[in-house]
Amino acid sequence: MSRVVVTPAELHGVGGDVAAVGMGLRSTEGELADANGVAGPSATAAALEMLAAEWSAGAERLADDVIAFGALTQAVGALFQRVDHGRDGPP
Amino acid sequence: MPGPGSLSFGTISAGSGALPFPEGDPGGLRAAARAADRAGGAFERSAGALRGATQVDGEWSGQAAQGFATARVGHLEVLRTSGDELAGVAEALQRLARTVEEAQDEVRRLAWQVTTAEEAADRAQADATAAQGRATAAASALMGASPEAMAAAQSASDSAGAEAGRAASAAADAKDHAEQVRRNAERDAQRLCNDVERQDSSTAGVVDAAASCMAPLGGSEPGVPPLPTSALASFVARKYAPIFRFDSDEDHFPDDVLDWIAGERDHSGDLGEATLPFTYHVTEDGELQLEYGRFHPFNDFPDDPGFSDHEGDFEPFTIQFGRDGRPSHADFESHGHTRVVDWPDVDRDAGDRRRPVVYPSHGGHGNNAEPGRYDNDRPGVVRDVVDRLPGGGVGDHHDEADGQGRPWNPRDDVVDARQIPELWDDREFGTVHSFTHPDQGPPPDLDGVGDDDRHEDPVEEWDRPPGVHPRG
Repeated sequence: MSRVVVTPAELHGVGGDVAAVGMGLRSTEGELADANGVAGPSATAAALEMLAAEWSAGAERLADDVIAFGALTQAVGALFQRVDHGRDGPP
Repeated sequence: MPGPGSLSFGTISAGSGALPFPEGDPGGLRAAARAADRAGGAFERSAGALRGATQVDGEWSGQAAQGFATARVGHLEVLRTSGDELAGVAEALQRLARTVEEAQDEVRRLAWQVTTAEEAADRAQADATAAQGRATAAASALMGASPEAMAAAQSASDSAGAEAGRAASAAADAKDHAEQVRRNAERDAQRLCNDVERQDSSTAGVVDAAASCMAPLGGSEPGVPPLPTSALASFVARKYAPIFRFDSDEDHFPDDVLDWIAGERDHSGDLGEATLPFTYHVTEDGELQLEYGRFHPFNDFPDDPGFSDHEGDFEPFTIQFGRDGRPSHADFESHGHTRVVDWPDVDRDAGDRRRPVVYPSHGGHGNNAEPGRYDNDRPGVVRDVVDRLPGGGVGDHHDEADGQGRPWNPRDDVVDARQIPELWDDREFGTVHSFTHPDQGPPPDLDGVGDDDRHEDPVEEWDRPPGVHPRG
């Protein structure tokens, strides 16, 4: 049985904070650019090239996902608020 | 320190020849290390910020709460793992830069030694040639000397001849020395190149592991929906996948449950094919639980032949996460008894401190937190069941789990049970049926036997296949 004893407004605030963390993550996307183009040794240089590509894409995806996580949490908070208002309001 | 010799691909000039030169760009490697360090720091700061942002007071359960808890722990783990991996990359790159730089400096020094020795040999040879010329001239003078000058000419010729002999000997020694210096330098330079190559390979492994850490998340493409909860749960489940150390007498190993469902009946199991299904729950506190179910095709209790031997057995092992998004404790289930071990006390892999080590007992496969011999007089253990069986039990029963047998590292074999229709169909196991050993009758009912209080959270239980023995 689902049970909710949280403040919807708090969930909404948490969602906003989470989304802010996601926005901050966006700035890390280019951090590994300096790791690309190392002259050698060859195995490490090749691995660094792959790392820079994977992390650039992965960090962007992660940032998007954390932002979406925040937005979903806000949406859940808003939904709970609507339910509460519907229950407490006039018939 | 001598200046650098002339470099070409993989070699450095050294006197009349060249030496193998260690490949690498120490400055570039250090710049890459600094970049990895900065990125890792950014991820760790984001993890800290997310941990602080996702504290929700109150009681919240249900599907939204489960999604929130999984996303929270999943993201925290992704961020923290990313930070750790990048810190490891930075450290490995700094080490490699140092090794490359020291090796290159050493080869330059060897090249200088070779050049110097060969130059000395050339000078000695020139001296010998000149001395030989003087000796030849003195001998000619002797031939043409008048009788009164004969004695002096003889003396001069003898002296020049002796000097030429010494010079020739010195030149031969210098040549031998130069050749020895070159041989030693070639050997040492090759060794240094090999050292760099080995460290290059191991560093590339660290970098590859960091890159593959992000791979499960996939790239960012327009229209790609947010990460499904299962991707985050799988990420965490892989990172915390237990390592199993079986008893030295064990001969019934895990297998791929899908093979078993498909009708394969290999009682010995096959570690090469085995998978480790997992699922996840959320507690009433809104925290994530990861439950792994190791599947054994057959249980064969060694002490009590025939007792509870049965086919198809899931052995649950659970990791509970706390409010900080880190594991708080682990549940080791063994024949209905749950032993709860605080995370700091859980035996973990020395190379990867996230990964717990589990010691399954011989035959019955109960999960133990450390190696040992376990009397099953513990409340709730199979002994209780034995006593309730017709005939009042079959004698003393104990588990052996010495941890000295085959190990199983299933990190790459972790599978999300919820994503496998044969295992998880609308939150029910669908097609797995009971195959209790025909000599044993039905498996004993262990429900409610010996559950630890801390395991009685009103969480969603991992629904088990109907008829499959639920507790080891």
